[in-house]
This record gives sequence, C-alpha cells and structure tokens, in this order.
Amino acid sequence: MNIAIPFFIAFVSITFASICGLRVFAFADLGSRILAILMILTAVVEAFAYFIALKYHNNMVLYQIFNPIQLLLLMAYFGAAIDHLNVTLMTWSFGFAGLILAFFNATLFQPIHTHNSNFLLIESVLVIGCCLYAFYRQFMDYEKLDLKQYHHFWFTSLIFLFWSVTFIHWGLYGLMKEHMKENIFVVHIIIFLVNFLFYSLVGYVFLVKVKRVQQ
Amino acid sequence: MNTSLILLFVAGTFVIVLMAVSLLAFLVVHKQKQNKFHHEQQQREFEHRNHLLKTRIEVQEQSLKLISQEIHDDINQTLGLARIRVFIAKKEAVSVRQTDLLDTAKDLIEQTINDLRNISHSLHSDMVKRHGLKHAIQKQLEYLEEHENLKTKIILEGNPEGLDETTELVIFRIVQEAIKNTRLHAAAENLRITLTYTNKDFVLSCEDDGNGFTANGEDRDGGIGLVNMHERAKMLGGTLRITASPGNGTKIRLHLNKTYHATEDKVGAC
Repeated sequence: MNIAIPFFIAFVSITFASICGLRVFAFADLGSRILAILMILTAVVEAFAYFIALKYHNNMVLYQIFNPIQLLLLMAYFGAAIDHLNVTLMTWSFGFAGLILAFFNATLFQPIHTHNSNFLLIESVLVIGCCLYAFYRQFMDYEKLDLKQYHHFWFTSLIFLFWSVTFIHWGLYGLMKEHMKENIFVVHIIIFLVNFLFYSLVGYVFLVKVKRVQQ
Repeated sequence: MNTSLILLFVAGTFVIVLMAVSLLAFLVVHKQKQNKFHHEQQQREFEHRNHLLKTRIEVQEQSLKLISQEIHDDINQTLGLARIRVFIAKKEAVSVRQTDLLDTAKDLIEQTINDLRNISHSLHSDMVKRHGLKHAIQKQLEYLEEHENLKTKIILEGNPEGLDETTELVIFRIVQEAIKNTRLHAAAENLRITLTYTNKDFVLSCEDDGNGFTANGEDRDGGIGLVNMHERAKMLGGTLRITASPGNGTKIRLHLNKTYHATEDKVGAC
C-alpha cells in the first residue's frame, strides 16, 4: 500500500485545522489558542516525520520528542478550557510529569529509535480522563449552556473520540504488529480515517463555533 | 489468529467509538433537559414573583379605592355640612369682622372640598377606567398647574389603543409617582409627558427640567418611589429607564411591548 496518498490526505486535514486555528487565533480564548498551536505544531511535525521516514526509514525519534510536548499542550488546553482547573498547574503537574515519564520510557523500556507505545497509552488515559472531567464540569457548572454551540464541548468531544481510538490502537499495537504483519494496513486505514475526521472536524469547529472573546 | 485480531481491532474500535458517541449524545440530551428544567424553574419563579406583585398592587388599589370612597362619602359630606353651617352663621353675623372671618372659613372649606375631591379622583381607579389614560393624566396636570408653579404639557402620538384598563391604571400610577417626584424634589419649571402608541409598542416619557438627582438613583424618600415604578413596569413586562443628572432634569421612559402585553394575565380586581 502506497503510504503517500493517505499521508497526503491526512496532512491536508491537519493543515486545514492549523489554518482555521490561525484564522481565529487573534480573537479566540486561551484554550482555543493553545489547541491552534498544537494543530500547527502537529502539521510541522508530521511533515518532518514524513521526510525523515523517507530519508532514514525511521522517524520514531521525532515522535518520542513530540508526544510529551503534545501531552503538555493538551494539559495546558484542558487547564485553560475547564473551569476549576488552572492552566499553569495542569501544564506543570501533568505536562511535566509526562516529560519525565517519556524520558524514563525512552531510557529504560522503549529506546528513542523505537515506537513509544507505552507512553502513548498513558497519554491516552490522561487525555481521556481530562475529557471526562471536562464533560462533567460542562454538565454541572454552566446553567443554560447550550452544548451544541459551545466550542470547547466539541473540541473535548473530538479529542475524546480521537484518543479513545488511539487508546485501543496503542493498547493492541504490540500484539497486532507481532501477529498480523501482512494485514497491518487495516489498522493504518482506521487510524488514517480517524486522523482525517479528527483534524477536519477540529478545523470546522474553529471556523464555525469559536466566537470572539467578550472584552 | 490473523483474522481474529483484525476483527478484534475493528470491533474494539467500533465499540469504543459507539460508546464515546453514546456518551456525547447522552450529555447533549441531558444538558438540554437540564436547561429546559432551569428555564421552566425560572419561568415558575418569575410567574410566582409576578403574582405576588400583582396581589400587592391589587391590595394597594383596593386600599386607595377605600380611602377615595371615604374621602368622597364621609369627609367631603362633613365638610359640605360645615360649609352650610358657616353659611348660616354668616347670615346671623353681627359685625363685619365676623362676616369676613366666616367668608374666609367658607373659602377654605370650599378649597379643601375641591382638593379632597381631586385627591379622591386621583386615588380612585374609576377615572382611568371611565375616561382613559390621557384624560386622567390631563386632569392630574391641570391640578398641578393650578396648585404648583409648574407648566405642564401632554403629547399624544399615535392611536391610543391596544392597552387594557388595568395596564392603563398601572401606567397611570407610574405617572403619578413621576409627577410626585417632580413636584416634591425636582424644583422644575416644566413637565412634559408624552404617550406614544405604535402598532407594537407603547412608550411613556416624563421629562422635567428640574434638578435631576444623583447617579445612584435615589430620591428623597429613600428610593421607594423609584422602586415602585420599576416594580410596576416589571409587572407589565416592560422596561423603565430613568435618565437623570444633577441640574439636567429627569427623564423617565417606560417601554411596553403591546403584543407581549396582550397575552399577559392582568390584575383582576383593580
């Protein structure tokens, strides 16, 4: 299976999300800005990863570095988007705990040139936990909040869906890689579809749901 | 093993996505129910508050009606008798001084009877019900011009229809409160009242060129008059805006939506 086409399609959706994030960056709230930064960073990393894979046939180093930063930004996002949470505290506690965890995983269990599925699994659990807490707060705190019009509800929902699939993917990845090498493309197609949908919809939410912050 | 793993992965992904989507759907539906419940609760609270307010105004109107009847039937009758007695006494007066004193007493009694009649009319809701809002305000302004150093003007814009008797009565009480504020506190020279009727709205505007008052909006009776005006406006489902600053006069603007108002439950007995 030629990986260039699905990569290109997925990359277009990430770029779309990044451009949409940039478009609302000037007037959006802090949470949306952090998410926009994450989208831009993801687009840059994916582009680099593609060319590194072509040249060196292994781009795992890039993901070993990017994933902890991704967790840091996601924690900052939840800190900014959820009331009762503090952006600084979330970033420093979970984000930097993730950095330390990633370091130990890379040095002790999964070396820097290998796939860091352990870290991704833990990252998934943390992100899903934050999403569930965000839902709880959105449900309990805001009177008369119309969830369908609230951009953070949609961002959280998309992150929740994306990371739920990511969780099962990285949970079974070792087993699948070992036993279904020739059919691994099924996994890649599902991941590609989830990626494509996630980034396209994030872009759509940026465009349609993110409103100007009240001064 | 290979096929089983693929199936496991696909089914697992499907189940996870299904669970996530179900959770989101559950959240959205329940939030909508929660919002609906809050809305209904607020609506009930609003109706309850409105009902209390209406009852209070109703009781107030009944009391005013009683006082008005008491003035008309009892005090005025007694004063009428007193006037006749003074008239008889004047006939039997033996000196010019006595005649002068009795004339003065008769004039004072007549003036008091007139004043009380006027007060009785302004307290009684029948004047508004029988003659309409504009006429009732006109009468108030005429009385004001007679007794105070104040020039008044009433302007009617549009076709005066679309408001029922009860609404007109509540508006009249707001006007009375505004007039009272101007008379007692404003030291104004001019008072202008405008009634504007459009197809959808009614706007009452009371403007004077007096002292105005400070930004905290309190008049000299501790703001009770203003609170009353606001409560009455709220009961009508309208908005009352008071614009005033020291030296620039006071403007009171009541806005009612006639369409909304036509469906509202009215104060029954007043």
